[in-house]
Amino acid sequence: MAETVDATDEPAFPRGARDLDGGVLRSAQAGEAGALDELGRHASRIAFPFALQLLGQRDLARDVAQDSLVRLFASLESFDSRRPVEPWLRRIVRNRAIDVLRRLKVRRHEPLELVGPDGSDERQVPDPRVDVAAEVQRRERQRILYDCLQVLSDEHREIVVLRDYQDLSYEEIGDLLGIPKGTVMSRLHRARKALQSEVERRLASPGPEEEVSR
Amino acid sequence: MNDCDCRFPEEYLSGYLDGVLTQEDMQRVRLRLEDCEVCAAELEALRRNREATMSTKFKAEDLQWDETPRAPWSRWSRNLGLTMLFLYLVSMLALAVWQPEELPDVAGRVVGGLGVFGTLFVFASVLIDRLVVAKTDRYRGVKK
Repeated sequence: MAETVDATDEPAFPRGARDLDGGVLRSAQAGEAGALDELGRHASRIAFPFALQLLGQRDLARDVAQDSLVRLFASLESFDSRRPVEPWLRRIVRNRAIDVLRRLKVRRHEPLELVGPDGSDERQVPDPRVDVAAEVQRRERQRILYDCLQVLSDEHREIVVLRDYQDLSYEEIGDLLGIPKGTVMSRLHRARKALQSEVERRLASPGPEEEVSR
Repeated sequence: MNDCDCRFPEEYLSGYLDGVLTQEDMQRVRLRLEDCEVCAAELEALRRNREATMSTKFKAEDLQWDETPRAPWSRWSRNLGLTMLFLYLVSMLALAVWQPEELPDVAGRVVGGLGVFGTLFVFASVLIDRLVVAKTDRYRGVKK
């Protein structure tokens, strides 16, 4: 659902429930198949979108996510179950994505396949209660932002993904990247500004794709 | 930098948007936003962008992980069994090369024991894997 945030208020975006229960992790470590299954599904829900946001290509993202899951399971037993599994998984995905990005000479990216707020396919009949015009506009903006994200430098794209797509806190981002909180803020702000100026540039001069579809 | 002469670091706008500034700095930015249209417009653009990225839903992908992790007991048993079998083979090979006239009774039993128990441990590991799979098989009812 789209949040309506009053500009004068301190903006707040809710964090989704996405942390895996420690009990499930311990059961998975003990080899219980149901828990392993749940861990696998949970991990792929995090790993694939994250890899896609970092890489911009579905096939690469699939490989990286899959590989990350295999690595996660391979070192599952040695993991301290008192700690949350998500930062560990993100670290694996990020390292694998960096390997892939290093190998890539030319970055290309595929268009974003959008899905509805409930995870349904975009082409399905829209909910009549939703304001259609606003919804179309919102999706357009989502698409432009995702396109522009791919043009940013690796460093800028990464921090925008971590904060504005993955919704990590400054502390979590600092831990992952090994930088202090103040650096997170300044780098994030530079990245957001770079993204915004790319969006403005794109809106001022529509690319060939937009011209064809209009 | 902006065209305005805001007396706080530019990145405080992001900090304000994310609500991570100290109360004092939040207040400073808030007061400034009331006067400075440039800053207010920039914050509004950042806010809209964040709203759009945060609400973007990515189509899921079915992933597979082909390395089914084993239960610790199974792995433990298998490693022990394989080690014993390895030692058994090494000693058999050594005996074949060395061909001692007289082998002490104990040595013969130890080597034989390595072979028998090594096999048993490996077998137990396979059995544990099968039992775990049988207990949790989602396709138990499906006929082949």
